[in-house]
Amino acid sequence: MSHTQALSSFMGLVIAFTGAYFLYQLLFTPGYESYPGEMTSDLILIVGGVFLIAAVRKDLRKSTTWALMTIGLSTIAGSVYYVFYTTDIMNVALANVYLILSVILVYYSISLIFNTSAGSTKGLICLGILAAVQIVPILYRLYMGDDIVEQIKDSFDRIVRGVAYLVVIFILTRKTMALETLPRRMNRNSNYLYDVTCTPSDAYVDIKDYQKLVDLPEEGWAPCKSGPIESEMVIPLYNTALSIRLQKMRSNEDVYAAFCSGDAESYRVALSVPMRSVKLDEPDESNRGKLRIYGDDGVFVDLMILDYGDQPKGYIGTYRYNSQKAREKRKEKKESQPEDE
Amino acid sequence: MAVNTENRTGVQKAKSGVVYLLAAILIVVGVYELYTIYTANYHDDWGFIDETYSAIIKIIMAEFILFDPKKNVLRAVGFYAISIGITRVIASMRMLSFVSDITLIMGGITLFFGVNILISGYNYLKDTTRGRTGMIVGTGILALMQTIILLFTYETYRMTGVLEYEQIAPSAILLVQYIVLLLILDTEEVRYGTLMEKTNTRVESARVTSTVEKDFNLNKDDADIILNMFTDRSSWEQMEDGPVESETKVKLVDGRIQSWMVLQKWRGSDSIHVTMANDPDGSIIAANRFSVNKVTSEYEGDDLASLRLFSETSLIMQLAVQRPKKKKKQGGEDE
Repeated sequence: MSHTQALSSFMGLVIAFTGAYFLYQLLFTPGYESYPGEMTSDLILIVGGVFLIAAVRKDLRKSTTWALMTIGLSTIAGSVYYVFYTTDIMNVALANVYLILSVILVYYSISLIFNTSAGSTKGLICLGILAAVQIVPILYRLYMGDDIVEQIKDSFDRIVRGVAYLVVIFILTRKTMALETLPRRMNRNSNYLYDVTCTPSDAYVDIKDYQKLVDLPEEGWAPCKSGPIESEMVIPLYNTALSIRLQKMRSNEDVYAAFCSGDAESYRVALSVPMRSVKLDEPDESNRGKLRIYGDDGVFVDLMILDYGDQPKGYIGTYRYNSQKAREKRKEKKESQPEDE
Repeated sequence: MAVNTENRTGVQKAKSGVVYLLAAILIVVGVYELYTIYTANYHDDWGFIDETYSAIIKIIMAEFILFDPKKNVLRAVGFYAISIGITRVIASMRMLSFVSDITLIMGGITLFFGVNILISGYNYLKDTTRGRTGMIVGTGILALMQTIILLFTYETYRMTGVLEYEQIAPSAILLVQYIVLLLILDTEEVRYGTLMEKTNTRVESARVTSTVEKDFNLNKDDADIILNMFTDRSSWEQMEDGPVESETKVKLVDGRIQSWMVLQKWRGSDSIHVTMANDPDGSIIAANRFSVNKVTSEYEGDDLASLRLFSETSLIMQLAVQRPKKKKKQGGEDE
């Protein structure tokens, strides 16, 4: 089960359990004063949660839509009575807030189904307000000096509902559960196209790798079982999604530099150049150099040579880079120690 | 083929100036606040805690800006915004503890926009200017609040004749901080950092290396280079070894997104090989490449009007050439 599926299932579980808890209260608590619509609201949560786990957990968009829709419909069912059939001004006002937010929630979940809304941000804002309406009065009373144990006893239902909303918000804001917004989708798509149509000019090959392109190494080639390519060697490029695959051919002595759209299992070759000759501007004292690979028929490739270690990385990036270097050093030290020690 | 040594231009110096300006403001304000903490009498503990934390956070964020290994304007704005965001959230806690309605409302507004600036600032550290408009609005409203406080203080001074420096200093300092942030939020670096702008930059880069706009004009000198590419290459860089005999570059589009034509004459080939790239001094991998076998020209009177580039079999592109500006005679007729 993928991370997304597991989180979707957990979300369904939280929703179903919340419904089950309130239904149990309604049916089995002596003296419980129920109101019309409450049972419907609880049943919607239970059915919605179970359906989410059983049927739609595999699809992120569907599970997000279903979760928002379930909470929205359940809250509408629970609020209608208070809006139209009670006179207590505070209850009517709060129920109106619930109702309006829930209608918006349902609207956004419908727009998610039809793809007219890209992300779940607006739905999350509605959920956040619903959670705040439940939790904030409790926090205010605690702030004004109420006993915390008494508060938990008195407002347990509110706490359950508020926490359930917060858990759903927490789940929907995880990285693996985030629906891409339109700008993010455009950004990702343009990134792919940009790399294969006109490479960023600040793309570079690391200083420790460039010699592999100048003097092809004897070792380090991964053999290919079938096809015209005999063996390959991957050389990473930085500041671009592209990477170089040096390829030795079976049929002749030619070596090709294939610039591929990535190192994953699937990739597209953006450009394949037979390496006829290489011209090198050796890296200077600031570790900056450049090499040019000449192919056939006017095709050439220019590659900047820079030291990856010198490139600005930010605090976290620098820490990670230094940690990785330290790990490599320790590993080297361990390997260089005599075996009999 | 030369390595670009990346000379520091005036623009780059100005950018690093902005970074140091933000750090300097935070340090000055932080040190001033520390000074006032030990000279003022606080009526409540929270005031003392609020001021102390605010001062320390500002100084820490200034250090983060100064010692940032990836120092740039976006990240400096990010740290600056985080310091403002955190200090506003802390300040709002104090305001929310008041019973007065107006202070409560101001506390709520400060908390909301403080959190907004804090989240936006964090995003700036990841080189994406999320919610720039929201941040401008938020900072603007906070600046407006301080302006109103200053105006009220001034009106009180006009009515009573009493003006205490301690009353106006915090608002004035905050106002300066907000104004600096507002100004920097409108700089090019921040404007072009949004996801949509980044997307647009990439699409624009692809466009300028793939095609030319219909109103594009080649300047006269570059047009001459292209027109004479088969007859006179004396101005081109001559290569002693390698497959390329001579090479030159022609700038097609000048602006934020540039486009260049790298023209090459290869040994043993009659064609001129063209590679269109964004930066001929940087890496060139995937690019728009074609070979030119013939160039023709059109004239308007004596002026070169356009060039046509042909491959062996077909037309590749037509490029208009800038005409010299015609002087107008006194009567308004063209000369």
